Amino acid sequence: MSPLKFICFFVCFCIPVEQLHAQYPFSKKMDIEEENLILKANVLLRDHQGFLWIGSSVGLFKYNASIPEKISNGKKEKLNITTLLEDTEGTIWAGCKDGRIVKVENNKISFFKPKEKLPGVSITAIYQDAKKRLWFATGGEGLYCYDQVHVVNITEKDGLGADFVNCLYSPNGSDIIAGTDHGLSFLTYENGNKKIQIFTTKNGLPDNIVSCITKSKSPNRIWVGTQSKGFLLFSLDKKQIVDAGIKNSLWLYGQINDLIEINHSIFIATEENGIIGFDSKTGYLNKSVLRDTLFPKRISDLQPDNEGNIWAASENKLISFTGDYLHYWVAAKEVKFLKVHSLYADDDNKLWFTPDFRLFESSADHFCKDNLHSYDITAPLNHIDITCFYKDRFGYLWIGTMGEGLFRMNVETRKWRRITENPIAYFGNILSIAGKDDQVWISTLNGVSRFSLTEENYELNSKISFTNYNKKDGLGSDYIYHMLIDKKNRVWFATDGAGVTVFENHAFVNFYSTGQFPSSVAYSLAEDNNQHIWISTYNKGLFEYDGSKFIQYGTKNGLTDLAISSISVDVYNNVIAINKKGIDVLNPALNIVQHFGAESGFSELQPNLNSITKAQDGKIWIGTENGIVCLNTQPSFSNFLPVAVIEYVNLFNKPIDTTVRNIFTYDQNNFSFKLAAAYYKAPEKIQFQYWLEGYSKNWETTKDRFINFPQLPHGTYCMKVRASANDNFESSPITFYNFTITQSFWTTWWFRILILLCFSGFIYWFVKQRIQIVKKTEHAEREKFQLQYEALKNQVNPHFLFNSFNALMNIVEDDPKEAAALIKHLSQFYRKMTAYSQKELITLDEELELLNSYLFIQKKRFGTALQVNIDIEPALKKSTFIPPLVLQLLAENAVKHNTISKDKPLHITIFSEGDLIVMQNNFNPKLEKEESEGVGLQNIKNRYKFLLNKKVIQEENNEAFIVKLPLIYSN
Amino acid sequence: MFDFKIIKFLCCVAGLFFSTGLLAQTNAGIYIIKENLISFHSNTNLELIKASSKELKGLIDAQKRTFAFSVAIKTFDNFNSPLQKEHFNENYLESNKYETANFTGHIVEEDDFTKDGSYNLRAKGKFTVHGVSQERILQGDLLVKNGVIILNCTFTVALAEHDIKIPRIVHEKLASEIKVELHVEFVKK
Repeated sequence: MSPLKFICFFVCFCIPVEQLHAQYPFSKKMDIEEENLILKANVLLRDHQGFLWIGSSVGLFKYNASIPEKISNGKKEKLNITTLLEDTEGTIWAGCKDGRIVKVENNKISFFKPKEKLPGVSITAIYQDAKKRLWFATGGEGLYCYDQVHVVNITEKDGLGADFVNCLYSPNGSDIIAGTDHGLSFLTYENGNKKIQIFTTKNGLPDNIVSCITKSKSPNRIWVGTQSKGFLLFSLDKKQIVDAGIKNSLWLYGQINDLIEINHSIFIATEENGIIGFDSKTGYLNKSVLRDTLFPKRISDLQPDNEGNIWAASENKLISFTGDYLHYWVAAKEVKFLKVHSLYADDDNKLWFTPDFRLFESSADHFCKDNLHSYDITAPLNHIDITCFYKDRFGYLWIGTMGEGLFRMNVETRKWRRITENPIAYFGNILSIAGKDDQVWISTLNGVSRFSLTEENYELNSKISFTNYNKKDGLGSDYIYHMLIDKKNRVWFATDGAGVTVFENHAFVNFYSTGQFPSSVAYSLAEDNNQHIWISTYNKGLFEYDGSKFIQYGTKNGLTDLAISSISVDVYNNVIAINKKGIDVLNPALNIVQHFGAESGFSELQPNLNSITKAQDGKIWIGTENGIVCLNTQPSFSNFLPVAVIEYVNLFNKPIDTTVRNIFTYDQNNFSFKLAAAYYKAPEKIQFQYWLEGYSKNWETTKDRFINFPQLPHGTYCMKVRASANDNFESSPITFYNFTITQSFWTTWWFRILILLCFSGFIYWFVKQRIQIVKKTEHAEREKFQLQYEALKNQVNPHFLFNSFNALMNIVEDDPKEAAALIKHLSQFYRKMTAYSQKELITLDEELELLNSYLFIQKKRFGTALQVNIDIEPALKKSTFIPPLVLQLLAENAVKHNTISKDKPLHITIFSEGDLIVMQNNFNPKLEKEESEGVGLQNIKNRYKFLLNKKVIQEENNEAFIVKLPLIYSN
Repeated sequence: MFDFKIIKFLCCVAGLFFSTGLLAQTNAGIYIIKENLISFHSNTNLELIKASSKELKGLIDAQKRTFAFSVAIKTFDNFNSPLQKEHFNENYLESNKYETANFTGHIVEEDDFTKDGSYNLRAKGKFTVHGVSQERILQGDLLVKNGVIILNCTFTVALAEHDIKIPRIVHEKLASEIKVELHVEFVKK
């Protein structure tokens, strides 16, 4: 949306202008600007949700929040919108000046493109008939009718009054009335048959150019506005003009662009003279409805909103005014309506009031300057402040004053008398007068007084008997602001200091002292149609007395201010509460409050205490420091509530069609909602409450129109929204949108169980594996120690040493060189054995050296009986590894277990065979088995298995004993 | 050989004959301008712009009840100052680009205004200024005497409606509406 400035300001106390009828609705106007260019608002529409649409010279705007938003298709296309319509499906149709037609569905704008040719001239009106056919009126090409399939053109040639059609209307849904440049055309179009009847100046129409047609509230009648001859009422069944009761039939206000009827008021938008009012009850024209002379004079369209206000489109402003429900009686030149301290509508529907300390009376039906009558009662006492009135059953007016006591006046003769016989009335401050039948009560700052009227004493000069009551008699306080005699003849007193007191069965009951009424200061009293008593207070809001208890109404119920200076009850049983912020209209049955305040221009008025009265026709009149306000409550006040709507739902910032989509996958979980509520009185006061059921537990209050849920888990949700202009949401209607986010497969229960099973299986396997490894290492460790132990044992094997020494002894003398070699080998053998036994692996070369040392020693002992043959490539010796002492151990075993003699020599052969090293010896076991633990070979096998995970092959037959050891290559 | 020039000449003669014949036929109800004065002004507190022209061209067809008028923008004179004239032509009306202001259309009322008398009639049609056309209904007073029609008409032109852009600062000085006064005397052709 392009930036749009929306300036709004109130115009209530501008320059007073002299008018025939100085009665004005409250109004406000605003500039609609786009990129600093003031737009021309051509046409207005209210849709089924109560939102206003503005057709302007640069496109279509929807007024859904504090500023109107442009509806755009993203392209910079300038549409000069001349007419708008919402069809029964909720689609908005807009006709343009260049003949194009656009429609808006689900906030999306698109061009209407039927097969047939569209108009090439301005679209002046769009209408939908009962058959859902759309009618397009054009400025120069007659009518186009679209029956959802084809477009048919109806022109002058078919009998239409003129090809310039200005407006359309259908009284019964099937016939169409077209207002043309040549009168009215009545058109019936069925199955291709056109029947057209025209009504022009020849038939009595004052002007051939018909500019607007509006439904009248009287059946079968329409209001017709013309280009130059004003407006008229037309009877459809008689096909003739009907007298509308217009007092001055000369029309001086030029072209009529639009006309609407609200109750008894008709508002007429003109091309050059602003808005003209017409009161159908009195027949008077109000030549300027809007008071401000700065208001634009060219009004192209009028549109009432759901709140009772009327909106006017003009060349550069959007104006809203209070129609006929709230008037402000402006100071005219002759009479200044300032400081209106009291108002009283009597049984003749005469309104008595006191502007600027003087006394006036006027008819309340037609409150206008011509009907004003001035009374000179206060002439001898200039600037007397009249505070209250009452007209008794004999037709005498009682007048209470501040400081000057009480007066009684014969309304017919205008003669008056000061009541001097009662000491509290004489020179007293009279705050309130109430009466019924033969009783008249006055309240003062010194208690109350009851006068009794009889047939004998009613004349002006007769003394009237009275009884005085004060604090001590049970009133509770001597300061009584207001009194009320209810339908059950109880007298109620609103006091300062003692709350509320009632006088019933000759006795006073004070509800403040009994603890039933919590406020010490009560300002004003009123009785509703259910005979409940309403009390306004200084700072505790409103109270309703239902006969047994007091019910409090405060800001929670929607009241805008708790200091309520005066109250009244209207014809719809709404309680009208006046405070310094404006007027609150409370519907206690539905718990709804409407407020008319600053946004209506009221707050500046400074209402006076108990300066309120209800006239016979139900209008409420309110006296303020700055004038008189008339509130003519409408049925809509009792039930109008701003309705929250979900304008659109975004999924990952892209709008979705909520009418067809409400199921989403697990990853479609970023939702945002755009909320709106039509409340034009004060759009900035709108608050929303939302509750995403399935996600949160309660309502959330916000002023934000965008609600975002970035990562919603799967589940079923219901987005509920409601709106309010005050703190009371309880009565607000709820709008909702149901949707579901489905589960992803990995969050389903079966998948979770599967994962759990897999995981526990894995853990089990892992633990088991670990245990095995630990066992294995333990085992290998043990084997190693075993081997070391074996080797060490061998080291100190006494036989070996003994045998070695024997051999040494044999040769030491014969061959000392040989003996030295033997000793060298023996020492080498022991050194290496000690060194290698700590290692995991040694090279094959090292092992073979060790073995050689060993065998050298053994050879010395056995001589040729021991024959050793080692056949291993030198390269292999260096590159391969072997656990230490393995070959030595095997050789030792061979020596140990076999008979070794010259006859039966022992052949030990060591050679490589592929990846194996083979040690083979001929099998020649000793007869007497050498004691052996049998652990040597097994030990070797285990070491290979656990340490190296390799297998040692043992082969045995009668001939030979073979052990094949796997070769270990480096790494 | 076929003489092309002769054919062309013959065609021209025929065309002339037909067109004059046609004119003779419709001349009956046509009124042409004898004298005229068209003036406009915008009266505001700060600056008064005014100008007038006597160069209005056009005619009324009383039979068909149609009319056409045109005035060249550059013929407007008698401004407050030469500078104002320059601004008017160059900045506001762009008279090089949009040379004329026109009004063509039909007469709404069915009165026979060829007879002597005074009439208040409305004319509806296309009103073009600054290249922008607007559908307008204008009201005029006609005084008819001895075949002479005297038309007096006053109407306003909203600048915004004709895309006549004036700077914001000037907006205050210049009225957004210009009042136009027209005095035309027609004689029968």
